[in-house]
Amino acid sequence: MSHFHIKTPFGYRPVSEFSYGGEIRPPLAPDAPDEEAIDHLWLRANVDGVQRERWFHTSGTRRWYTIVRDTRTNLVLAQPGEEYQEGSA
Amino acid sequence: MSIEFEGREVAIQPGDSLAAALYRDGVRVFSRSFKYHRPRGLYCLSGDCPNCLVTVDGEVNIRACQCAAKAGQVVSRQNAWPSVDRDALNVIEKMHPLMPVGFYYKTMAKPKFAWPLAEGVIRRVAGLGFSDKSDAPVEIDRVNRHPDVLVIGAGVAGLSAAIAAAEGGKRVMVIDEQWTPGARVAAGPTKEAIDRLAATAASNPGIEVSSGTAAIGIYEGPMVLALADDHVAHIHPQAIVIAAGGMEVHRIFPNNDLPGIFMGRGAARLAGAHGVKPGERAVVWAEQPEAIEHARTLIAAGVVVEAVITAPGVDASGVGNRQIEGSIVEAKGRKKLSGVVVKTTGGATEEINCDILAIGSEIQQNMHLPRLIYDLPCILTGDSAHPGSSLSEAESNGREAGATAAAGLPLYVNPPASKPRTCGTAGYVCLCEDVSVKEVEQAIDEGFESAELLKRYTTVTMGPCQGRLCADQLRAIAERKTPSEAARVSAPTTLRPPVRPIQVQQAAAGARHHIERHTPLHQRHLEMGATTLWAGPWKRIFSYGDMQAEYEAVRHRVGVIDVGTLGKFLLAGPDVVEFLERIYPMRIADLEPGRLRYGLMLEEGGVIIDDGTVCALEGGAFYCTVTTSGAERLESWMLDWREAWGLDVFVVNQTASLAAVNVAGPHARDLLQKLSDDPLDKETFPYLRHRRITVNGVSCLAIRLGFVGELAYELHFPAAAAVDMWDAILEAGKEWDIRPFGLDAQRLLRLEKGHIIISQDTDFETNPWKVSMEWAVKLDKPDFVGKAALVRAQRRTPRETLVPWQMEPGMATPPEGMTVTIGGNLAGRVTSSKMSYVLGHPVGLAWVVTEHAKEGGTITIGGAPATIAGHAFYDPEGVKLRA
Repeated sequence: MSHFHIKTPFGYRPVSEFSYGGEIRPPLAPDAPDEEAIDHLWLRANVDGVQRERWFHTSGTRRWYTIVRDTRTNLVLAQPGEEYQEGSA
Repeated sequence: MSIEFEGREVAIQPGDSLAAALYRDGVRVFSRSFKYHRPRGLYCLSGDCPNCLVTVDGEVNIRACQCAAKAGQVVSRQNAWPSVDRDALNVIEKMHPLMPVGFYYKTMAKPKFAWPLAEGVIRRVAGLGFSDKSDAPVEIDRVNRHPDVLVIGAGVAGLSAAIAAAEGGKRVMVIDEQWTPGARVAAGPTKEAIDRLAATAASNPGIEVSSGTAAIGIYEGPMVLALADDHVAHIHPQAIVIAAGGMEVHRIFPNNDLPGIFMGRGAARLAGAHGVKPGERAVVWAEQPEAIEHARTLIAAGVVVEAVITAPGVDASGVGNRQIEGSIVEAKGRKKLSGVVVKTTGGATEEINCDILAIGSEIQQNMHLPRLIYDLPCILTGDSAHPGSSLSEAESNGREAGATAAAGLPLYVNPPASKPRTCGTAGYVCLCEDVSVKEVEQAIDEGFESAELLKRYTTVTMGPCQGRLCADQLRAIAERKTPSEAARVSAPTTLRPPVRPIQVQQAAAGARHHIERHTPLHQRHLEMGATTLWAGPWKRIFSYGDMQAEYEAVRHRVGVIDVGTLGKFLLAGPDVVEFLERIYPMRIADLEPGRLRYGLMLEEGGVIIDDGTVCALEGGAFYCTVTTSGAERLESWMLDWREAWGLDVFVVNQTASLAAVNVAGPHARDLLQKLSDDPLDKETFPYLRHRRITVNGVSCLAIRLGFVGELAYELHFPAAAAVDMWDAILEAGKEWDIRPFGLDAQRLLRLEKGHIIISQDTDFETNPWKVSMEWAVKLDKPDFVGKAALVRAQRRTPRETLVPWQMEPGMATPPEGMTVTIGGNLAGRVTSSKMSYVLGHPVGLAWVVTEHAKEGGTITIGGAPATIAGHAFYDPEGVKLRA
């Protein structure tokens, strides 16, 4: 059972109110070569470590939030609006 | 005050646990063992062993030693026939050779028919208790708590930690499984210390002591799951202090499971805290000094301590009738303890008669919670950190931990290595699953060498105690028997929550909110006898009882369907055209106000995820509809893209605020004209246009679409006006014998038109090419979601294509999902199929391998021939819907 909190304008809300939106990835350039496009479409980094990711507040503010989370520990290293500095965990 | 125990009254006293009350009443055998039905009595009295599981008020597997006795409770023992005291099933023990370890993998596996028979018998004989399956579900509340510091365990170390953390300015919560701190600690220095610390904690407003609350799991976050009497708590602290204490090591020797054998703390608790004399003549095995206190407690309760058996270095002078340095090697007795065999340090053996044995063995960490805290801000203290701490050590260590927690804890990294143990050569390793040393050794002989494999094969550590008593002993046997690399490297078996037994309704606490959405017309539908079905979070109408009559009304006269569940979005803002051009694969920029266009929605891989319409409104805004089940998901999807592209667009979800009905059939215009003064004629308001018109006095956005293949007006208007509108339409339609129609009729109507339903006819690989909807995609647009994938998918012929098919009149309609074959080879599957009333033969859609997916081709569906059609079955030119 994962458990952590995400900061919204209405305070810290439990992750059970959110839906996962996945890791943040750079957009695909329209003229990208096939290989790059295929990687972008079908592969995810699935990081074992620090990841920037999106969460949608489904049962609440119905807005998107970007956080930095350590996927190994589920510790939120930067809440929405916060800067993440490497090693600041 | 009394409880009802197996048909008789048993008196209870204040502060009693069920175990204490029953023991005082003379109950000695509390359960029968899992496999062999050996008699088992009280052993640990701290909720750690499986021996006192009973049924209380119909609830199975309640630990009698942890359950407060309350007047009127109905209590019975389990797992025996006809009774626990005279259990006929004990003959199983005589059949021991027939039930080797892992017997369920071996015995009765052949012949094949034997197992189902044997399974029935085994399921009755084994297992623990019978649950009442008729019970209505119980809803249990979930409570979220947010202390700064959570202390688990209100013993000497835990209370000291709480006080220190509160002095550090933190809000502290202390939880403990017991009713009140120290409630069941025998009188003595430990009890005095706890009482003193509890009083200090109670007077500190920064400390909340929550007794009767058992921590059963620690998760990331950190989040601690705790069970209280009437609710489940999710506790979200910044730091956790674990002071869950220690327990005596389970000692293994022949007959170590006889009733009358107690753990030292268990015997002391019964005698000192509950005032119940455990027996008449005791032997106390003192491996450490605390056990001498237990001997004194027993003496104070009037028990004659025949002998104190001490480990070297433990001073028992003056306590008990005799003091012998040595150890216990065997217990004697059949149904209860009658004596013990002592082996002195000198090597001599001696038998001493007694009716109870209190084993004050080495103290080990109560290991379950400490093994769940990797990478979390936790600190261990007291016996959890240093098993066997003295009182003063526990207090100072606790204070230190509390102060550290208040200052902010680093993450706990190193899993505690469990100490190597020794294990006797005979006796019961696992009380829960009834596994003896001999059986474990036999399993090792069969090749199961590592502790991890032994666990799975013998089920040792897999019972109610979850390895608390036996995990280390299992490793010890493995290492002794096979001093190989495999055994030595075997890690301690993984411990997982729950630490304590948990009821299913507790696991589901707070998670029982099932969303069921209704349109404002739902009650009207039910009044008309409608049947419903789930569509995403919505309950939609399947039929009003006569699907064919509903269908005929739409085809020949007029019908009305509630489509208020459609996802409805208003989009506006400076970048709205750019946004929609990127969201949809078709063209938006050239859509003039008053016009509308069908649109697919694709994900990045080009797969169709939804469809609907886009209406261009006056003034530059757009009104978009999406499918019933897609509304929730697509809202977040659109908002995600909006932020990804940084476009200035407002997305307003009007799904709930607007109602929608579709009036369809040759007389749809005649009907609406009765309710509206606005012109509805073909020239002013043609097909694929939308107009704002007033119907029944309510301003509606009317959309001319053709999903069901007839002249139709879809009206979108404020939800508050829905019931009046519905009633007015049905009233006005009486002259054409109007019928409301449900999804069942709508599915046939659209199937006759060859229209697909996303996710019924499509799957997670379906792109527009596969369903011949190239016309809905404009690849020459600069970019849209899914373009990169579609451009590449276009280079290859899809493996399968969705095609319409029909059968000859008189043939049976194949079920949806039926396989399609060509020349005996699998060639696809049916996604939709229905008997067409207007055509008189079955029609449907099917995936067919592309090389055979040609108009006029023959396929076989479930053994019957079908022909691939090239166009809509009904009104292929679309004359009717343009009327």
